[in-house]
Amino acid sequence: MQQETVLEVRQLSKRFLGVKALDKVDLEVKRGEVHSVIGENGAGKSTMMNLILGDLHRDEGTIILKGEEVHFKSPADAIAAGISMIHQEISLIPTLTVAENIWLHREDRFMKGFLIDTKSRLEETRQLLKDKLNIDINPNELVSNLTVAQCQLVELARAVSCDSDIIIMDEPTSSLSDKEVNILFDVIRALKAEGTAIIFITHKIEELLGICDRVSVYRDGHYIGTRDCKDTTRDELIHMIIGRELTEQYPVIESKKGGVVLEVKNLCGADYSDISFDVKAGEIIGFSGLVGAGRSEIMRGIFGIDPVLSGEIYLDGKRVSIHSPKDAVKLGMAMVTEDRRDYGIVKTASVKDNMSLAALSGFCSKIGIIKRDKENEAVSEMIKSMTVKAANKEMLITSLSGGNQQKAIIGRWLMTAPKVLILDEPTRGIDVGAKSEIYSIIGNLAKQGMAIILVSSEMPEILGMSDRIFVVRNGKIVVECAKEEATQELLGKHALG
Amino acid sequence: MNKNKKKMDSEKLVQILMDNKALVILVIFVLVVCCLTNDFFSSRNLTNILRQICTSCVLSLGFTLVLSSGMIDLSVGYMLGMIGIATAMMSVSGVSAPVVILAALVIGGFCGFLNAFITSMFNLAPFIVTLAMGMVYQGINLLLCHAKSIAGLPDWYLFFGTGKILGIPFPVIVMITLVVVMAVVVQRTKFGRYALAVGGNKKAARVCGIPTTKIMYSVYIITGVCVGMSALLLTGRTASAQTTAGAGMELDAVAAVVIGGTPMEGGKANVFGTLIGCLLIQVISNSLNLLGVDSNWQKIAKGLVIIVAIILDQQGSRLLDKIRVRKVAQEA
Repeated sequence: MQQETVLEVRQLSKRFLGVKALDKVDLEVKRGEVHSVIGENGAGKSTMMNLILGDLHRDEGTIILKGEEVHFKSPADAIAAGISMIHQEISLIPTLTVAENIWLHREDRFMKGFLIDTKSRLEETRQLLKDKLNIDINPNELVSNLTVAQCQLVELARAVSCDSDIIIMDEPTSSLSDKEVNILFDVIRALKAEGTAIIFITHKIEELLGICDRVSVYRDGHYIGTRDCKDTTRDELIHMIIGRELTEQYPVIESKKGGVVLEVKNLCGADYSDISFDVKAGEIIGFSGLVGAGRSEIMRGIFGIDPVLSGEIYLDGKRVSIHSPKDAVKLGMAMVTEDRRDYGIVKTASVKDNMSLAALSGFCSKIGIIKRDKENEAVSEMIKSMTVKAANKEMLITSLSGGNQQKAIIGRWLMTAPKVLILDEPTRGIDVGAKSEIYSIIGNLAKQGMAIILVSSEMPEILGMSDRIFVVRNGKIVVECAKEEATQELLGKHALG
Repeated sequence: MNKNKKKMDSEKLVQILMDNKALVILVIFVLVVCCLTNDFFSSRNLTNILRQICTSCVLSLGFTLVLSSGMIDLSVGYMLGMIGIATAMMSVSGVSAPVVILAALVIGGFCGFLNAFITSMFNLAPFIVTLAMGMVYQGINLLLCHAKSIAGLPDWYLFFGTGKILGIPFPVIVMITLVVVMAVVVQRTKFGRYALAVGGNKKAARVCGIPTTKIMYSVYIITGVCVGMSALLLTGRTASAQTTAGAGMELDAVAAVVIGGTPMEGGKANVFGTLIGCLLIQVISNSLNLLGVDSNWQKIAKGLVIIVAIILDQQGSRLLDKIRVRKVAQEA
């Protein structure tokens, strides 16, 4: 079937003050297709989208929309011409309601004189959410009361409400659980049937093979090629993305299991109850489940970030009480949190200051003066062993890529020489290369005898890394299984219930 | 290779200028003033300037710590006035010097503790809490001295304002000592690093095991102690305590600290810059005085210079980014 080309990008180039971010890249999207754009962080995907939307100005090249060359000056022009985008970072205003957010800046259609007819806006929003998208969100709810996943769905609704010819989705599934991913995919299929083209930016290859028609690969600002999804394989795409074969993504971990290090008994908190599990030295246990099932909340409770209601925690057989992260750190625990920007990096501080923060007491004299030689030496060593790519450890941590920031944060905790390491979504938003580096680091730590708790929404990651797997649903552990008996189907079945 | 080296130098140069922008503006300003008047470089004038900034500088040191920890303290102005009046009354009624000095620092520390306590206990915004506490202190000032100034201070008290040790004014010695101490605290101690981390990202700092509430109390208490010290210096210099003393000084402190290179958003501190910032603000008033400019115009000039300083800061950062990007491009 010959489909009409709706968007064509030819030989697009962009320099940022001398650095070539995009070098003559192409993209062709047809009406009614789901076209995936894939590549490592820094491959130029976001730059290309920003050029298409008019957020940035191109140096060379042409963009042809529905047969006409276009020059958008701002995203508002692009939306008017029929291109809208769902950003990875949520761009909703938390103090407004769902309905207000969806129609923000497009209130004209509800105007009655100088006033907005809120009733008809509400009605239209309800129709949009319930009937068209089958999303169960109250249009009158304040956005600040929604979960991250619900916000993402509201963004989706907003993009759909624009009646665009093309919708760009930047990693739309990164914070969605499987159930919400299914809602998203249903919406995508419906849009496709109506003839809307969708550009789907993602890191997850399995996902795109399931939903997309064609895939275009980019690497280091170059266009590598386009494939039909039904003719290509995962391995071919990985090869195209990183330019080399990725033989073994998950390392073989042969660690000796020791005694139980951490034991949790009947832990209850605001979002979970009756949580009991243990983890041995040298063991990696995985926590699987849907986003919002309560996995992160359990870990935050154990680590003292949020208060727990009841339950017992034993460390090396001794009962301990943890009221704040300070207590947990003192007891030899460490936690890489899910939200790197809010709970991980200190963005005003250097790489060095960020990495030494948790272990700083160890580098201080009795009266609290920092011994700088000792600190510098320890940080340099950790940068090396974690392969953090930083030109200089005095640089701001925000100048590093996401993957390197994450390695720096893991390094921060390793400097405290913890007995127990909790990793909450350690590879979210990180490219393929950095991912496999982090996996091998985790493997090495287990070999050295660390007890590791891995929380992840990516089932292959859980299956590939863990010795034992716990599935959490609605704040309860519903099943525990050994690595050998676990399969995607089993985990998925228990996660959904 | 040679060219590369030159580029690196220009990056370093801009970085140095950026880190010391208050100093750069100060030097330029002084050069201009020198061309216009001969009186500026008289030793009497210079000593005068130095003595005048001691109060605001000691106050601003505390403010540097508060701002870089991501908080604010708008109560410091009236707090200063209150401590001045309280200690003046004590000393006039014959309380001994060590007790009065200790009282000044303890009252300051306690006021800081109150700010921290109210803020953290009821989880309120420091901005509004400290603003309100400032009003409370203003009221106390008026109640204490019924709109009359308290004069007749003993000699030891006047020493805080006008005394000299080895020919150096005593308040200048206090100021320089405190600048050094504060610089060490902020840059070299665990407490300083923790305070900056709390200012940069409070949630992340807490996850790292930093006792964020304890840090907050310490920051406010230290600020209060600085205010206490500042009150002694000011009251000693003016030889009397007045209800209006200290009014508006919190905003001068904000200006001095920000011009000095400590951002309003927290996470970074430049203690030496704060000293230069205070110096700059004082030099502006002083030189305009020498030039015979009307005091109302002086205020306008002061405001404009602050704006220029902040614009330069922003433009300088951009320039630095450009140079860095070009450097990376050349290497690649």
